[in-house]
Amino acid sequence: MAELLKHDVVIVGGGAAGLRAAIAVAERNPSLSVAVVSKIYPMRSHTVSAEGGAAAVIKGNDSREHHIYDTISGADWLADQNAVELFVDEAPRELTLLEHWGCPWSREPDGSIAVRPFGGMKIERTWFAADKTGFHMLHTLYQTALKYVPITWYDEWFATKLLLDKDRCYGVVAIELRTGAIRGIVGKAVILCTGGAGRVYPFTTNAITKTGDGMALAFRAGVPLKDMEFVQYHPTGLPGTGILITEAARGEGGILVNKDGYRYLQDYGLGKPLDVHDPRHPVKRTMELGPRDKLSQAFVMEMRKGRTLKGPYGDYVLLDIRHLGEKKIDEKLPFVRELARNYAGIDPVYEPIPVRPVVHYMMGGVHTDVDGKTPLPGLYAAGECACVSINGANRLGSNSLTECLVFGARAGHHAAEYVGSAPDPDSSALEQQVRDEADRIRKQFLERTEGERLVSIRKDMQNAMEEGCGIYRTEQSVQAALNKVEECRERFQRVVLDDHTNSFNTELIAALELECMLDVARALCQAALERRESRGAHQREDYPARDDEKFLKHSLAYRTADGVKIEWLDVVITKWPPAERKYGADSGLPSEGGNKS
Amino acid sequence: MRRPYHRSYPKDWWLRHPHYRRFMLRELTSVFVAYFAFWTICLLFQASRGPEQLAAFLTTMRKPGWLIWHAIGLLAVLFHTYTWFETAPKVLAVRIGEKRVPDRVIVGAQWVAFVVVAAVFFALLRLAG
Amino acid sequence: MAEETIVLRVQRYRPEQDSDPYFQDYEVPYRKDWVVLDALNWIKEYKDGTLSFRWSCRMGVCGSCGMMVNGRPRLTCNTFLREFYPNPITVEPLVNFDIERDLVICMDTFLEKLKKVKPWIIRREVKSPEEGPYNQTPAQLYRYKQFSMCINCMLCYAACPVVGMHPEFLGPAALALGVRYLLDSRDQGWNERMEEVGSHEGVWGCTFVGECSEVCPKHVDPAAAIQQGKVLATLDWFKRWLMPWGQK
Ligand SMILES: Cc1cc2nc3c(=O)[nH]c(=O)nc-3n(C[C@H](O)[C@H](O)[C@H](O)COP(=O)(O)OP(=O)(O)OC[C@H]3O[C@@H](n4cnc5c(N)ncnc54)[C@H](O)[C@@H]3O)c2cc1C
Ligand code: SF4
Ligand code: FES
Repeated sequence: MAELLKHDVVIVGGGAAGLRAAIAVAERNPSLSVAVVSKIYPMRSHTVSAEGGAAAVIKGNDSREHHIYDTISGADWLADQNAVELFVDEAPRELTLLEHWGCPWSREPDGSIAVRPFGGMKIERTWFAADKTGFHMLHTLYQTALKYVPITWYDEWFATKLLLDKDRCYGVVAIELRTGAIRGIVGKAVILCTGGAGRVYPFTTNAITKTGDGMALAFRAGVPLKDMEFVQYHPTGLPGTGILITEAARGEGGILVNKDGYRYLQDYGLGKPLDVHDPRHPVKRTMELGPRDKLSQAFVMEMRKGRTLKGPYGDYVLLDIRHLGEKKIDEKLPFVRELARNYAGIDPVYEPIPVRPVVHYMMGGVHTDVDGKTPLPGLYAAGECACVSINGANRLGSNSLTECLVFGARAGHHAAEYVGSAPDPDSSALEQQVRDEADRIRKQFLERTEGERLVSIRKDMQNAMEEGCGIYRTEQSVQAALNKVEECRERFQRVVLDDHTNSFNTELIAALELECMLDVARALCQAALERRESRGAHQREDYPARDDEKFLKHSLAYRTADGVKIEWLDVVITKWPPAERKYGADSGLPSEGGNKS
Repeated sequence: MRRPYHRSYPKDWWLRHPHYRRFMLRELTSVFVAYFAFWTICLLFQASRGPEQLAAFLTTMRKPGWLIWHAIGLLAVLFHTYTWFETAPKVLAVRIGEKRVPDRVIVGAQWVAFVVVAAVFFALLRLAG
Repeated sequence: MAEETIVLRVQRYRPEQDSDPYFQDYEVPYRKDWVVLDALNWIKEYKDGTLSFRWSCRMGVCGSCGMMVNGRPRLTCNTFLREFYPNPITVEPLVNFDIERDLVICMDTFLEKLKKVKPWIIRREVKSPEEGPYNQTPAQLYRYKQFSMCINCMLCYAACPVVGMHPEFLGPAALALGVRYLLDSRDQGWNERMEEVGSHEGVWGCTFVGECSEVCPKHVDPAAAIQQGKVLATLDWFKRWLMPWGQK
């Protein structure tokens, strides 16, 4: 039986992007029926873990030009400038809306919104809710979304496939976890908001649920993945668990030191350190407030020089916030203290926190335009699973929460308009696709009794990715990773589960997630292989320079019968011609037409 | 297929954790508060019947059985008072500016008030007697 | 040297096979820096893929991984094995909820209760975003801030005997959120919300056992929220009956 559950717009994902999109559709046209399909309860989405904050210009000393420039230079000029302008212009409105919906933003004494500095920014513009910004944003969005009657919640439904008819997208096939039922959830527009894919790597700040499902679904339907080679490492994760120590710890004045207690960042073009008690410390875009890619790269250099510390989970350095004092730590960074105490077993009031770079964010994702539209009519994407691109080669901290809102809303609005004009699908064709998918899942996973366990395949893939597609890469290392990923895909064909039942089969979900990750990893490797330059988060030791001649372009990875094919798409440059990325003392706004590198 | 399993709530739930036992004790000791209220009414009633009746009542109350019973009652009421004071900060959440007044300050203040009121009361009794 | 191990006694229930829950023992490697969730994952990955449980963030903020650990409601992603070693650890699904499967509970009742307290800002006159944010001083923020920290982990529901005996009681987390919106200076939905929060299934259902606040991993102190809710409901009652003209 392939019953179809019918709606107008189907949103896959209940994180910041998905919920914002759902509200946008409901507000734009209250007569539309909206389905929010989420593999975990929406308030569990990984948006919940974002600590630091969300960027938008609101203070008098800031300006849209600064935000635009910080974003574009942070992106190493790989961001589309029209998209960035639009993003910066709509950001304050979106964060204000969230305020109206009840988000408990931290405040100045006079009751206005407080902002804090973040890495790579010239001027502080990050809105925050103590150090639980993502948590408060997500719960505010979720609780607000509950009031919209047209929204139907498919909580704990896992989307496995896009439904297509006549080259348009008409919904998804999804498994209801509690019953194991496989159904078609149909709508004339689908918005993918499934988040990132950090779990492709072994050490990550990402939750177990960040497995790139939406990217894989789109990729399999022939939609290209853009700029997948750009993987952001966050310089301060806890060794072992990968739990994030927010950048706000450095924004408030925390410093990074190597095993000799030396502030090593000064050796890597990030400016000169000021004493921690100097009232001017920390200086924006300098030292500890440099961009994430540079900080993570500096760590690898220190490690090669043997100046990092060694622990059971590999090399690490120290993040010292002791000089802030207990009062300030409890006031501004309570979550940091809580996490360090629980998971690193130290109290940052008295001891520095051991940290190392860990995979944090995927700059790449499903190729969309500024309205969230993908090349497949009826399919939209927003949030971390999409690539507009405003993040280019390196995302600026605190831009992505805002991105989820701005582009979630835009995708929602455009999808709401689109469904009015889209033709009706052929229901029997969709039903057939649901039946086929149900058969596939049954045969491939539920009926097989012999083969290889999931975990060994997953571990092999993750380790290969870290080794081959890590902070520094070479042709050989990436090729080796790609070979390993292809081997894992082979082995996955023979994967065997212990669990052959229907009700809440979490092992089946883990298998489907691994299948998605293998596709994402494959696209990532191929793009990393063919981008023969170094830019932002993609550092090729065999091509150490940025090459604007050849590669001021987005990579588009297509799935074809004979492997992944890469095409190139020009970056949109409007007013800010490519220049050298500068941090430290000489990191001002360059005059228009600044020097090319 | 779905077949949620329903567990019924155990009748002896309050035996299962010290906190639950303490909660039951708090609820039970409230009986003594009512008892002493009733006792005070009896006392007033006897007093209203004249000095002899009151003297007889008080003599009865000096018997060891009654004294022990009332000592137990006093402890129970003190315990109840203690639990009552402990909960006050939750209800009040007093703030001075942005800072919430720490719980122990509120609890302490109540004990101070308690001691002061009790002392004034005894002083008045002494004066009257 | 033989590896140190620890025993996990895990409650199992597979609706398609088992008529009643039962316990299954697993011996897992003991690591000092492992949490109970790590041990469960090790079982799932290497020993028994049929064991089902929920988790996501493994940093104590998504609220998925609540279970009874040795009879107490805990987040398994921040409950360390070292707290119990070398004794065995019993893991069961949260009590006061139906069991979907193994350690997975059925949360539907909570979602209905959450919706009842109208956990969104209600305004009579809505400001457009172009007019900028509402003003809210830090003091106004702190009035409700603590009660907005709830991660919906359901530990308090498992700890609350009233929830166990009277399933219709809205319960600590939903009420804390109701009170959170009552106390928010931006909200104007007092009357609508008070209908639920100030009802018998609302704050007046609470007998103040206080255990919800003991087990809350985020120091939300739902017990305090409910008691403050009682004060607000009482004031509301006085206002309605004594000063019917003075209603907001
Ligand atoms: C630890 C951490 C800290 C961060 N801090 C910041 C910060 O300070 N500032 C900032 O701007 N950004 C920060 N980020 C990045 C930012 O949080 C994320 O990029 C953003 O939250 C992503 O939101 P999203 O809505 O795209 O996806 P998510 O919140 O990840 O949600 C994904 C949703 O998709 C659903 N889903 C996925 N696959 C499926 C499927 N197959 N079927 C059905 N549903 C599915 C999930 O259930 C979930 O609801 C941080 C990220 C991490 C990991
Ligand atoms: S109030 Fe505390 S224990 Fe209850 S659901 Fe919220 S966070 Fe969990
Ligand atoms: S896994 Fe998210 S709270 Fe434990």
